[in-house]
Amino acid sequence: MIGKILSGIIGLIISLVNLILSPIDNLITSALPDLSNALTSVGNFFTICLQSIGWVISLSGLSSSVISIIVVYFVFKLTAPLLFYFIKLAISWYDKLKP
Amino acid sequence: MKHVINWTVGSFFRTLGRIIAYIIIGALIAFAFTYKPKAATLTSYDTYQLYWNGQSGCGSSNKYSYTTYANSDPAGDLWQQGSLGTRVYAKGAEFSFNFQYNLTANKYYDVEINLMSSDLSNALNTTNVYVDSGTSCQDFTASRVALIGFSLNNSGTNYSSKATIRIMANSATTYWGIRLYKGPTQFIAGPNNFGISSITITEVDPSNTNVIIDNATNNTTNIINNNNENTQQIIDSQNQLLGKKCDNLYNFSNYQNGSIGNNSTSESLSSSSNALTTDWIQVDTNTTYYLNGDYNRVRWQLKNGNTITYGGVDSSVNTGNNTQLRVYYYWSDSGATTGPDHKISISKSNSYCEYGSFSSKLDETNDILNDDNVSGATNKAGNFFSNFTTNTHGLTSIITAPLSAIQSLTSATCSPIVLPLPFVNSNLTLPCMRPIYVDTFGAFMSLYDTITLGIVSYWVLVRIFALVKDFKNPEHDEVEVMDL
Repeated sequence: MIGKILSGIIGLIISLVNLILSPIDNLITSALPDLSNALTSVGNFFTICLQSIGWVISLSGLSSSVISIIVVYFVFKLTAPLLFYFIKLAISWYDKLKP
Repeated sequence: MKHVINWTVGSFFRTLGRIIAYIIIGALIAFAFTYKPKAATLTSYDTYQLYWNGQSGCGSSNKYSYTTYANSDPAGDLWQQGSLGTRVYAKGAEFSFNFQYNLTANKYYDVEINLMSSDLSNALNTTNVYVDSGTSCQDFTASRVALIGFSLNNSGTNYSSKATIRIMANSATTYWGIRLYKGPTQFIAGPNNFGISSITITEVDPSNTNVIIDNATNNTTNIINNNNENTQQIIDSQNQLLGKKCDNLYNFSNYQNGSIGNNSTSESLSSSSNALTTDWIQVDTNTTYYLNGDYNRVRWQLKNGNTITYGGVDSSVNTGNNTQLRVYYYWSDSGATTGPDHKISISKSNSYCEYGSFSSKLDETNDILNDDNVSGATNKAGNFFSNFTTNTHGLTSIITAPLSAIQSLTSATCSPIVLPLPFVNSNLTLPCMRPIYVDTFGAFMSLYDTITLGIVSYWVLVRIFALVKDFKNPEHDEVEVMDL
């Protein structure tokens, strides 16, 4: 269940990044199609690599507990600072706007 | 001189390391070529066991008997084994498949269902494997399940019957195979003599994890003729449908007002509306039936030629050589047109056993209240975000690659990699190594797991401590964009 939630959170972040970058992606696609193809090829390469990640983990012999800890760490690293930054930003705005 | 020595020693160890690496890679490739998954095998038996159900219906396992026979012609056994394409996996689920038998009197086969699993003790037990065959249900603890107990008559040379296997297994490797045993020429054991000339298999949606019972096409045990939907429900396969092991012949929960007299020993009831079973129920001979319930204005009648005997609620009747029984109200409730729900049943057991639409809803509620299975919550939690769209091209795919990698880690399951090799028209299959490690190194893998878990945990804790410590720095308010 925790894995599903983590996967969902990451999916949400990816969606937000996608939302932010969509105009730029569309601009590159329309104005620089060759560059767009090159970027897409890099993404496809990553996708192929990710398809074998299960086998790579199996090759490494790492247990599921180790993988879970690594995943939790990276989720924390990629989400907690962002959340903390937003909280500090909100507080600083409040300090400056308060009468 | 010092540099020369360092270079020489370093070069030696570098060369040694390369050689070792080449040897390891070569060994892995050789192993990948030679490794093959263990093929499933069916065990050949030189004897077989015939199980049959007693006359008392389902209940405890001691009601079932079996006799062991020698397999007179093992070479003549016919096999119909679940192939790879039709193999049914039952991982924590229930599936069923039906068998349609065409029986002939001059061929004698027994049917054996071989259930194979890596953990038979877990997959096969009294609650996990049971067989429903027509009017009765049978529990087996053996890995070989013989199907018998058909309600056959001897009016012809060809018979048809059917049985449904339902299996609840907890192993992903449980699958099935069917073996037709060529039995002895003198097949005299069991309540019915029969043989099997052909067998066809129909799977009933093995992907459906709900209770699956075919009750529509092979209802050969419709023993209640009066289909008064207000007062009765035909049981047979409905019991199986609900997963209950009631052997009720008759059940109702609705009240009809009427009057036919106190006790009836007449075949002609004064008011047919008071007869819960207007027509006679065909029941088994020499069998004790019980009229169970909470409404004492109900009677049963047993027909013995021109003689009718009767009895009330909480009484029993032994049918002897008679096979006709029915139930009726024997008196009216003044002024009442409908009454409260009552629980009345005729069964082979002396306790009321519920089934039907009302009780099924009640059972569903109880099941929900008592269900501690939270696996569904997992999917719902995961599906909460599943409708967000993602972009797999352009900058987005590159920037979100690390996140995608982590997301893949959360659900990473190993599957062998198959690489087509050019020129030799062959595939290189790289098997999942973790199970091989476990098989090969055994206890050492436990030590390896402990060490790696400790090292990674230490590393993670140190990094998290550094992150939290960094949070305390008021000057540090930047977001590591590149981390994303």
